[in-house]
Amino acid sequence: MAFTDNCELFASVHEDGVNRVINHIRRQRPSWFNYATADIASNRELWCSKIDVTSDVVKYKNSFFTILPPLPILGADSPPIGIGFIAQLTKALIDFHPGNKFSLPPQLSPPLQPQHFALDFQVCGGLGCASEKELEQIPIGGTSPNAATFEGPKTQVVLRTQPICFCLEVFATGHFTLENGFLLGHVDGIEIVDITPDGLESNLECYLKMCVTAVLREKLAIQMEKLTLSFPLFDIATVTLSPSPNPPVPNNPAVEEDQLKIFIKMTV
Amino acid sequence: MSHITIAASSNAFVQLFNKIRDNFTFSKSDSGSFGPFSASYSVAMHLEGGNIQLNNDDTVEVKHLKIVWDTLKVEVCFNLPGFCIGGWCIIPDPWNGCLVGVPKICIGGPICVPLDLSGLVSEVNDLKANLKPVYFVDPARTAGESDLDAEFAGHPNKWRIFLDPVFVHVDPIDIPASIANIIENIVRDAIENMFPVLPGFIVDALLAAIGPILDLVKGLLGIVGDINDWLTDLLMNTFDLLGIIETAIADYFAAKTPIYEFEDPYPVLDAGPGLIPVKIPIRNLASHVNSKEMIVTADVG
Repeated sequence: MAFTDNCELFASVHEDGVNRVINHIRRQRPSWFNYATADIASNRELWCSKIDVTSDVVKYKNSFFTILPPLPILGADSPPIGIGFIAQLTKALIDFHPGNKFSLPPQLSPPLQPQHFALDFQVCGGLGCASEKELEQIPIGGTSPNAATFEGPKTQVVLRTQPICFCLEVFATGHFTLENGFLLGHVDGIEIVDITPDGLESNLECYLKMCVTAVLREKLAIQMEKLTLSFPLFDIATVTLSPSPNPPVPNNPAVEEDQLKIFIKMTV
Repeated sequence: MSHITIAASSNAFVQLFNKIRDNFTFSKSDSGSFGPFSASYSVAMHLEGGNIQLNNDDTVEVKHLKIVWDTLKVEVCFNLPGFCIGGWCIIPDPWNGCLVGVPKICIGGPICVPLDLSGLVSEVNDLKANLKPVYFVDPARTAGESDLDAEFAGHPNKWRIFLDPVFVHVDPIDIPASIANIIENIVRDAIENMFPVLPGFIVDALLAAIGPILDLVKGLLGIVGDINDWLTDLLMNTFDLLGIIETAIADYFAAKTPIYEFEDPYPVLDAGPGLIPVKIPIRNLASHVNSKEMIVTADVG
């Protein structure tokens, strides 16, 4: 059977190729994988995991981190106090059906369902923890206008902290759709391994699902053209390309044989 | 298994081929002396049509690809040997020579025959080619320049897939037999212009004395056979226009205009404020055809 029996243009990418692409993105765009407050980002001793980047990232002075504002200490408002934190995506692996790259946890009902993908990623992070000495700098009775260690009222003070790092192993399952010429990933299920109580786990899972969904929609929606390495049919004015319909293509995009496949029809 | 597979149906391949076919243009002019005559030409052409077939032996075959001669001008110059005609007495004067006669007129010198055959159509009878992936390193790239530096400087490396012809068979131009009449008229006009102003009947008498113009021309140029065949041979073989066109077409498809081209490393994410573009290295690019489709495979490095 030919690749193009039911379409004019076919493209597929194997999970091993996608995993290499993920690794290239991680090394060339580290700020999509590492998030921290400025105090922690600027001190590599405080990072939870070493960051591997290409020489061009350094040469062109790209940030290793997306810098985020400090996390407020609840109840502190005179002055407001914040602490640093860090979150790093230290591993990301994709597996297209049939699942064979890693084992899914029971909560995601293995084996991986047909036409689905699975993600295995590790998130390491930590909240900054201040020393007793640092905590003693918080003014008794609130802010004094002449307090030496604070800049002034209403300006958030960031405590010097050291994150207590931990890592979470996260699994997700999902599927792809083609929408408006973009390949879009959708998260169907997510599971954090070995975390209790259940309520905390559910909260974190929901948060991570929202994170992954936002990234997939905002940053990783891939144009069909890119998937075909800019195949030159896309720039012929007299040719219009669109996803092949069902029938004759039952799944488009298809996730099968460890590959993601798209089928494109051509109208001249 | 390759990381990336891209396939284009034969229909899609035809669109790709048409795109590069339509960008082909060729022009040339030349001149030369060939003993009794000299000649020059000026040509410009483009390609149209063609029946494309993908074969299971990993070849692409294009038949009946039209060569449209947007410009096809030829000029043949030769020397009309000097000779005199006339000088006959029509009504003799019994006392003193001749009362009415045809003056003796001597003619000769260079005659040029400009021919404009623009608009003729010939064809590339058969073109058979393989797909050939080529890794192009821009010569403008300097030592020590990273892939990203090269992209910012506008000369990134590229993967290119060419149609590399195994052979190109171009048919000779079929110059119509009617060209003989055109040549005859042009030469007749040229000879007439050599005459002083004379009554028409005298001109006709003089031309009749010269004999058939076409025979004169063929005799002077050493043409055996039809003059249109001779002209075709002049362009195609003497000037080697056939070989030149075959080479130009082969070179165009094999080395100048890829059927598929993309940057390496391939940009997957655009640059942004404070962010370099993300580019992935593409390795082991291979391209094949079978009777149904073209298949390109590659790995992510």
